[in-house]
Amino acid sequence: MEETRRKTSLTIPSNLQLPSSNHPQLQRHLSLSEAERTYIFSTNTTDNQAPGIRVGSGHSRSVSHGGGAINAQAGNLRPALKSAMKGGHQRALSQGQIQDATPRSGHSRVGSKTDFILPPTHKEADDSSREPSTAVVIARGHTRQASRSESVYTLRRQDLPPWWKRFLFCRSSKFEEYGFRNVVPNHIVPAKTQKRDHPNGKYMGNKIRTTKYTMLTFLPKNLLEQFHRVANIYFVFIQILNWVPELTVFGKEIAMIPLLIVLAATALKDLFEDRRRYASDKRINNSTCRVYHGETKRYVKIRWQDLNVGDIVHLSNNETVPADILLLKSSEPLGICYIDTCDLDGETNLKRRQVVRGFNERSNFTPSEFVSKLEIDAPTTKIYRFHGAMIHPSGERIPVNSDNLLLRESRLKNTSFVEGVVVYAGHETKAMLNNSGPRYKRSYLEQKMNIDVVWCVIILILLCAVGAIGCYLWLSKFSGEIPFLTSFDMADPKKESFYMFLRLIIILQILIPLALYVTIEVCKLFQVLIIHNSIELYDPHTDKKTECRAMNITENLGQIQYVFSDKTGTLTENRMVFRRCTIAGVDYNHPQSEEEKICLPNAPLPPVIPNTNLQIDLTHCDTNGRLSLHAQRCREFFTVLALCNTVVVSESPHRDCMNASGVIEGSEENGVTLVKASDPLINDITDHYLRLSESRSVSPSPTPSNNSKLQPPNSLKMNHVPSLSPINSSAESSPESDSPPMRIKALTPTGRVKSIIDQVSKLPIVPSILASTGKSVKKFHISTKHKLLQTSSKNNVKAVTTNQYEAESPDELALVNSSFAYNFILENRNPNTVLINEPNDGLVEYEILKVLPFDSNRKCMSIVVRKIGGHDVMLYTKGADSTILPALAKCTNDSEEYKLRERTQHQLDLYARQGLRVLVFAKRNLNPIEFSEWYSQHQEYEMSTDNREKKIRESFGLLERNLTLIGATGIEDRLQEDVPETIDSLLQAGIVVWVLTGDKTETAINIAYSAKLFHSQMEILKLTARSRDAAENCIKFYMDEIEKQLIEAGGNDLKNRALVVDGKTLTFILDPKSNLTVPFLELTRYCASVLCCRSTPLQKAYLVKVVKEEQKMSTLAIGDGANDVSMLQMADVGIGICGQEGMQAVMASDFAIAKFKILEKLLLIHGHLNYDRLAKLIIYFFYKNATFVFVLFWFQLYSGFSGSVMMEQMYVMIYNFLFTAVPPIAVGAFEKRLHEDILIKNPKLYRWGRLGKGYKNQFWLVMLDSLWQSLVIFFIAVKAYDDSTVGLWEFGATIVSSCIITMLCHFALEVRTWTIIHVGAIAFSLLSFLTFAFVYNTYCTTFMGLPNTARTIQDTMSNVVFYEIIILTPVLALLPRYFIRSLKNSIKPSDDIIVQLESKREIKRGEKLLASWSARSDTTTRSPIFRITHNQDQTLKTIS
Amino acid sequence: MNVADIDQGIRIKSKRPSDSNFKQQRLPSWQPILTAGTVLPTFFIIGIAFIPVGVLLLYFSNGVSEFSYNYTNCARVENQSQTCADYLKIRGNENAECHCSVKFQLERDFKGKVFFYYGLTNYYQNHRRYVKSRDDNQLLGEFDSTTSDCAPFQFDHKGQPIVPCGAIANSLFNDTLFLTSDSHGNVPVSKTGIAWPSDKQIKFRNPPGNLEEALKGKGRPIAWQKNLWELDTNPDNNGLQNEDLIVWMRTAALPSFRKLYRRVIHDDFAFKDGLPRGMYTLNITYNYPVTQFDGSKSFIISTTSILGGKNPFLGWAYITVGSICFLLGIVLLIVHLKYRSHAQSSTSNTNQRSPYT
Repeated sequence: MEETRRKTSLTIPSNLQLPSSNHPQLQRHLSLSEAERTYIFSTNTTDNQAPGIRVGSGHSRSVSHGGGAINAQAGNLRPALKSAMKGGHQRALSQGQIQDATPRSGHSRVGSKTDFILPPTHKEADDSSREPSTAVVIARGHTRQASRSESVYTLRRQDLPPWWKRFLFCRSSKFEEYGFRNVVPNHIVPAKTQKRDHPNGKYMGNKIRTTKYTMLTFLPKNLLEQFHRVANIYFVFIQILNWVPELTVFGKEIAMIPLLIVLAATALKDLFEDRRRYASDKRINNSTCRVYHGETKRYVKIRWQDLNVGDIVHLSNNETVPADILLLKSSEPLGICYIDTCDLDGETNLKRRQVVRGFNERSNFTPSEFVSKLEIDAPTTKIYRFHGAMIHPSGERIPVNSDNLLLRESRLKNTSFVEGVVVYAGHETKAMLNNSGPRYKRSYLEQKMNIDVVWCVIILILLCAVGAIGCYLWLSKFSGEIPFLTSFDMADPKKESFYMFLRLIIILQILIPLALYVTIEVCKLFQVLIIHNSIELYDPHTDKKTECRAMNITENLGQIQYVFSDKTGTLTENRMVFRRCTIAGVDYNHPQSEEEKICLPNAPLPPVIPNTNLQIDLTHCDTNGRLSLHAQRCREFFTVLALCNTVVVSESPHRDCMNASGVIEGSEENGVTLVKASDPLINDITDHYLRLSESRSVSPSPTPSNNSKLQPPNSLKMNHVPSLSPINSSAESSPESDSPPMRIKALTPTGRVKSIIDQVSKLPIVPSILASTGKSVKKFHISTKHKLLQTSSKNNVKAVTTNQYEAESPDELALVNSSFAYNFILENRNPNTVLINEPNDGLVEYEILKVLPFDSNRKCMSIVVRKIGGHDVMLYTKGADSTILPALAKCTNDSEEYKLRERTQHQLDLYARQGLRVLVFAKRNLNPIEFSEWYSQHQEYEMSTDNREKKIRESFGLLERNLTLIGATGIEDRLQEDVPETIDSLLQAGIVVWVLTGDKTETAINIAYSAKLFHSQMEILKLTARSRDAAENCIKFYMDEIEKQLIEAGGNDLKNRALVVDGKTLTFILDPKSNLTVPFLELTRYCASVLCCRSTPLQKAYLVKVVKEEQKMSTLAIGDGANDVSMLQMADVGIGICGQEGMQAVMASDFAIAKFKILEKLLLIHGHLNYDRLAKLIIYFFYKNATFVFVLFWFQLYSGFSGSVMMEQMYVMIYNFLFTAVPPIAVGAFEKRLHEDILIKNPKLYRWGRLGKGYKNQFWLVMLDSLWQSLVIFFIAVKAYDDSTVGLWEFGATIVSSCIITMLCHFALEVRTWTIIHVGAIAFSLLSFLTFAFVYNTYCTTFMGLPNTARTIQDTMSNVVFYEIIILTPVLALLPRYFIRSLKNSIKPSDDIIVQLESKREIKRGEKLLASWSARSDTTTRSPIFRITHNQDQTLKTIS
Repeated sequence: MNVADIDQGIRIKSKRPSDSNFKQQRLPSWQPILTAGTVLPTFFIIGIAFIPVGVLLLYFSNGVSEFSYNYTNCARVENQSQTCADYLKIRGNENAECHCSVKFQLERDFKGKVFFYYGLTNYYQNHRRYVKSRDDNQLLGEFDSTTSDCAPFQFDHKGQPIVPCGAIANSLFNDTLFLTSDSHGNVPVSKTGIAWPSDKQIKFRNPPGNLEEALKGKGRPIAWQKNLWELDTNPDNNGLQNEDLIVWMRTAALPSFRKLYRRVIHDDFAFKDGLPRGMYTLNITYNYPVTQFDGSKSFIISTTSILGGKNPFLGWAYITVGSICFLLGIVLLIVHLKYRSHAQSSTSNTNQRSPYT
């Protein structure tokens, strides 16, 4: 898009300034200088403006139909958002995202891609002038400030790295400083040059390392990182306490075991993750590419990691670019090539890149002759910012910019091969500089848990205080010589009691469940793996699994209260089907074909079946044998459909004659291809290419047959004919095929400008070659069956298709597709021309004079074209009806034109009611002189720095007016499969579903009905206001109504309501100054679903934010497009759909799913279960630690508050980490509260997690339970051993045993679904305890200064009392829990129990029926019972 | 490296997750639901099992004969008006010997093996510093071993390292208890076989050679009146392997405890079946002060059962818990009968479309 415009800017001026330059010399000079000037201009454009265009084009679908512009008032949103956004949430700044306020003014420019709603005036006037300084600031601060396109999905680290990092790595910042680097081609440097003498030696190699650690740095770095955690610091604090002699409770070394285990477990996890990164690095580093080798004068295959700055690289089609490469040569005409930056920024549309100016003209570019030096920017994170100059030996400086740069990780497309010089490598590439880590969102449950951890601390302090007081009182009783007291203890009871306080902290430390954090992480890892591997979350059509991108919020899925959904692409398939059109007031329908009905959701759609009436009308002739007026209008309509878009036609296959090792195959000379392929006039060269390609064996496609040499030049055009069959295509396609007109245009830029000038000056003379080629091509198109490729499914089909349309939005594809159906075939589009094959007229070429790209403010895009051979400069516009209709030329109320508009308007309303997306087409005949004036004026605007966008928009407005209506289209976007069912489930689950769409209200309401978001019994409240007061009144009115209804119904709100609100009203509501947000939210509380039409991306995000923060609700946002990104990042859970619109949404999401319907299972099953698992895990963890700690505390009462521990220290230390480690993991990862079938059949069960019932109040209940259980455990043992000879360690061993057994029994009570894993967990715990006890007490008798406890366990277990205790204890300890649980389940069962009982009963009934059926099975074979039993059988299978 | 080739490879390989039961969480499972109906049997079973067990425990516990005499405040043989405890408190008498003689009657025969215990109360052998205050290596015969844990009983006033060091050894129980039957004469007792075999074999060891030699240059515990090698005449029961010492060194878990003192030798005809009833005289050499910490000393004669000593607590606990379970079982039964149909009827499906409920 931006390229298109840039190109235009190159050519048009000279074109229109024709009168002033008649002299050829002058003319040439002018055009050159013009080009030079434009060049500079275009650089600016790319930097400052291009992203704006990108936004417009890249997301044209999402916003196109009413990405409702908020008026200037919307600007007020921003400060409010800024202020509201506090805390550590860093968000990408761009694309209308809600952003942190950055004090540096320069940032706002970079991140100010709020064009969705904000008027350009909002921006600071002197943005661009501050640009360089900003860059410096950013670079120094290590800020990941990336260009906006990229920042759509990355979260940049705006915080400073930790001080130690800055300290350690201060030296490495040298390259980040703003400046220039010089690059020389490596082959001109003598081969043996030392690295430090090498001019490029100081630049990074291409080897990348994304691992956090190396072998050497792993330990220190990982430890440092771990000690950022408060929990670990606490542990260290405890260790330090334990080293104080007065406080030593545990063996100094032994006491470190828990900490070491925690650290080791975390380190192991980190290591594991890092290993994966390492493996991927290794894979990438070892990929190969071809690099020019100066000595052998040929390309050789080397690994990516050996690539260096200054190397000349050769790339074939579909190859991934190994580093940032400056393009020097392309196989394609005009020296262009296409790259797919999908992996880089997620945009799937192809981007054009151009060889450095001057290189295209040189017919003989050889690497060996390339000796020019480069002076370019130092590496920055800005993907679309690149400046520099190429300095030829002659001293000539040629500027280079981002248009010449191929970025690492992008992929070469539609180009046979390119060659270029590496300018940034490895970590200095823009892709790597923009690599940012995963993002973290808060987990609600963990937040709650953290509060309870604080409570634990309070309990701990309380216990310690009690202990200290007890110690003081106990000590003060004594005087004189006491055998069990030393004089130290006696000396000062106060001091001793203070020590006691600290000592107790050490002893009772595990009340703060440190292992919990590690356990949670492990469990979440399991949960993520389960989600990844779930077949139910896998979509076979797209072959995509559900992907968890955020690891830490799996349980948030179970607590969603609000779902915010995008409509297009999320609820709908985003597969636009051309359904209706109205041309000059006549409506033509294209009903769903049979083929389409059976068409699988992901298979390419069958072509549109032309409406026969329209076909007749198209060729309808009046009495003179000439086309009727209506027919002409129809023809024009389809021409505009094909013309007015940004669809690119791409051809395949592209073949490179150089094989992977750099050998030119089939070529006599083992050198470099010397040929300018783009020059079509040299037949020999073309031949040469064909010959080369014949023997290329590496190509995955069948080798083309030997055919070319004798063929007349014209036959080459055959190659252009696309074919579906790979065999056919291979027979005649040449790798260098290109449309003939394109070849003719394939001159140097200067030459091209000249030729256009020529054409304009000699208007009547149409180049004959054009006409002839046009005809010949036409013939072949009769058999053309092109394959419309949807961007997402391209990976499967790409290899076989030979011709494909690539569009940024599916709407455009649908339009081009429909025009294709009527034989108006878009043959080719390049920045300057469009080639359309029209019935009867054959190939017609249009010259693009200007493209007015789409933006969401104007909600339209326009194209200014001139038919080659025609005079007229035409402006064609397509856009939303709300934009185009007011811009139509004025006409009187009774004119024919007026009636036509009335009719069209009527039809548009009809379309909208059918849920179709409406686009209106209009034209304007421009006066060339006027246009040239406008153009030069516009160029000034584009170069201006202040208020640029506003000026440009106004200037666009000048052109897009006085339009004449051509027609309108209605495009259908089918609902995805099972969307109504899913929405119904979500609603039943008590989730409030809000659909936020940019579509028209009528369209959106229709979709809402068909998606079961609304149903017929619902009262639909519409909120459409044109002023703040109106909005307020409206809300008030509805609130009053509702209150009335409530009173009538006696407080029970039985009515179902749905709210529809449009973007404009939202502007007023969301304006913080209006104070309408709260009333609005109040109103929405009474509505089950809300539909927001014509909303902008920022509005979407703001709505999410308001609900999240004002209502304190947990929110989920789901979307598929770039316009959903800010919403996804704002929500507690962001779900991206891998849809048609690229990867931005997925990149910004926490979970990526293939289809909307997967959401149902993700939330209702996995969310519910994961929430339950984690809640149980946390509660259980608190329980087991608290019980243990309480037991230890009770012993203080019996040991004179001395801080004595009856258990062997090793038990205390590894109790958490071995004996009781596995059951929590079994719960946290594998527990199933209810069977999946039950959950999915009963969505209302979701309520439990939604309201957080799994954790609510559980902490205190479990503390109470722990208290009871600890009392039982301790005092049964005390009483049983009362007045006996029992030793301290035996007593401890008994208590540990009964603790563990009670804990395991408790676990058994909590388990709802028993599997082998749970049994295994219990068995493991018991066995590990016994094994450890026996081994330790047998072999480690004198171990690290610990008390000698040899044979303790044996002695303990030889006493019958031990068994009596460990049987009695768990029974009594768990009696209350067991009893109350059963009683509650019987008397007042919760929903889940009811449902579970119900299903059990059903199964039982099924079994009976089965039995009765099998008894009679010999008599009846197909009774109704059979069916029932069959079904039951299935349920049975799944449940058991 | 042709990227297209990779593409093809990917195309063939589906990302479909494997359908294994484990990965799909479809392991065979069992889902018990805790309702009155389902847990009823457990309660009854526990009730039925625990009550008899409790009765059994009580029976065995009652079968154990036990006699305990608190001699903390026994009168001096020399001066009946003065208790030994008071006598020892008198300055200068700390290391003096005090003798008590106590007469008591055993009401019934003590059948089976009879053991003598001494019991101490309010004695915190489990005190943190006390428990630590020993050197396990020293007790294994490595006299050169030294640890600061023993402080302040690490070195004697001469600066010699104390063997055995530490507060535990220092506070060794040193009363001598000697029982005489009025009708059968002295009750023969054994000083050995009273310590846990594991202790004697594993945790305590004398150094090889002459004990006295080995202890040259070492101090004896401050409170001791004898040297380590003078504890017993029997070489197997002397020094660190003296069982009285071993028993004492095994620190008790709770502040009131008893320790095995002697076991009666049942070779003699009179004591063949145990300890016959009748009058007995307990001769006490009273050395050990307990009154300053409100402690008490007892002399205990006890037999054992297969379930240990006399402790009715567990028996009663089992009976109580069993009864409670039984009672709760009945409650549950009533609940079960009353609410059996409850769950079926209460599955009304309210379709509440609101996040607030």
